[in-house]
Amino acid sequence: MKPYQLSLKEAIEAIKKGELTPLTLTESLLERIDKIEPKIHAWVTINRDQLLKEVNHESKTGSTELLNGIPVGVKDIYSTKNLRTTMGSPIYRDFIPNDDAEIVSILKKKGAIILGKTETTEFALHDPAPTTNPWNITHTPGGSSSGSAAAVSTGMCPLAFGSQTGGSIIRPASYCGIVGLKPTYDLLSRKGVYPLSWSLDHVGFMTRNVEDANFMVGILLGEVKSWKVWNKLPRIGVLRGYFKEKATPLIWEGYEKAITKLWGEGADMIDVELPESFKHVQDAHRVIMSVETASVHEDLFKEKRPEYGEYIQGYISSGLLVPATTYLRAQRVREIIINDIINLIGDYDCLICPSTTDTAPKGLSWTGSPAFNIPWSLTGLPSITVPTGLARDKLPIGLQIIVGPFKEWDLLRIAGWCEEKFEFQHRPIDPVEPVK
Amino acid sequence: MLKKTAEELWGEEEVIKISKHLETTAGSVWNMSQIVLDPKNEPATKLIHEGKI
Repeated sequence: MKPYQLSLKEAIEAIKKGELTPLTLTESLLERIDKIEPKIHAWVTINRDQLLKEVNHESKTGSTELLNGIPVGVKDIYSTKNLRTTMGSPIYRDFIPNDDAEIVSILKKKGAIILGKTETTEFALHDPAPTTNPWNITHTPGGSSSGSAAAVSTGMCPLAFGSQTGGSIIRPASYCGIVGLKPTYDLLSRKGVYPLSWSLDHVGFMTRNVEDANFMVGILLGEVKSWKVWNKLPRIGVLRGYFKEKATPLIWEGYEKAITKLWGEGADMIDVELPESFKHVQDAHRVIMSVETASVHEDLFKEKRPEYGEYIQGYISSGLLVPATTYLRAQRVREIIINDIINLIGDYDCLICPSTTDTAPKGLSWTGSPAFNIPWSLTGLPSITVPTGLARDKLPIGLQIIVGPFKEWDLLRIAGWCEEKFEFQHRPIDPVEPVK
Repeated sequence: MLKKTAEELWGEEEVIKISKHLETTAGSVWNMSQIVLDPKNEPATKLIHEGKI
């Protein structure tokens, strides 16, 4: 196996045992990037010169830090000291931050090396990045963390960070057939990550398997735990209703197949009725996000409106006009929804629903619907996507698993149990070009 | 209301360009205004004593 094909944990173990050096790993990743990046367009900036200096330094010091010499991708809305950070916007095309985002600082302290900055939609909203989906390069990889998902999926890095305000971690991870984790709101620091909507923004990451995600949560929280999957048969609340109405037949077929598989493996699968307040999720999210986005951008927008993309211009403009009382009403409604969902979830080990409404849509002009992720961004509950297989269109399908606030360890162990049952392949894929 | 204010602020031409956003947000604003906040489950409403006005 080539070094770029190793998972995060495998690479760390190999370095520890002396079977691999950070330099060999980095060279393998750079070679991989050189080979496939022209088709995938996952990176805004590769930190090539600095990277090799840092890797050499790490190799020589023989550091025992947990992420010693591991190259990591970071979405281009995370500040990186002395490394260009564009926010996916022409306004910031030459912006060089003076400091690292707090998460980037933690990664560096733990020995990680910033491989580069991954593509994002403009200001992490909607106007798309040039990134393609490795499973079919004529399809979107999803957004807004487009580059992070495509880079991990193809083995250009074993780990990449993203952010989610609507569906920007779970959706691209699912479209690209990898694992994406959106932790509980505010569990991971947002300091130095360009805000889109501060009460909805989440920091999270993507890996190719659940064990790696478990390891990363341990590193970020400072309590690495040995890996074990859920050791009893899980009691799973199955969501339909709202999700069935919005899912395409391909997605629903895949979801039902996943449910049958888990049931066949002994999980207790119970149909759950969503609370009445759930029907307000989309409207509450729209009001809160449009107002907060407008508020974040208000001053810059006045000055540089023509330099904003078409979608975000309209989005900010509409948010500027929402009455203050409506914004506050939406926050009050949100609190009702959160309480109702937390009461509901207490009866189960987890809830499940499909990760996306559809498989990755054709074309690169939009990044797909976040409708199945918005409920968990609005409520701040931790969610993860685990690939379950391929749909008939040969594109990946993901299962979204949700637990109560701050129950990330349970979430990861249940996700690990599900992952074992689905037997999806977790090695990097080569970009698939459509048959002409 | 949103559309009218937008026209006053930015002019008709600009509003045509962003009309889809205005419609979607206006729809959500309207839907929010139609929700009855119940003192049983909404913290701020709970603070108001019930009684005849």
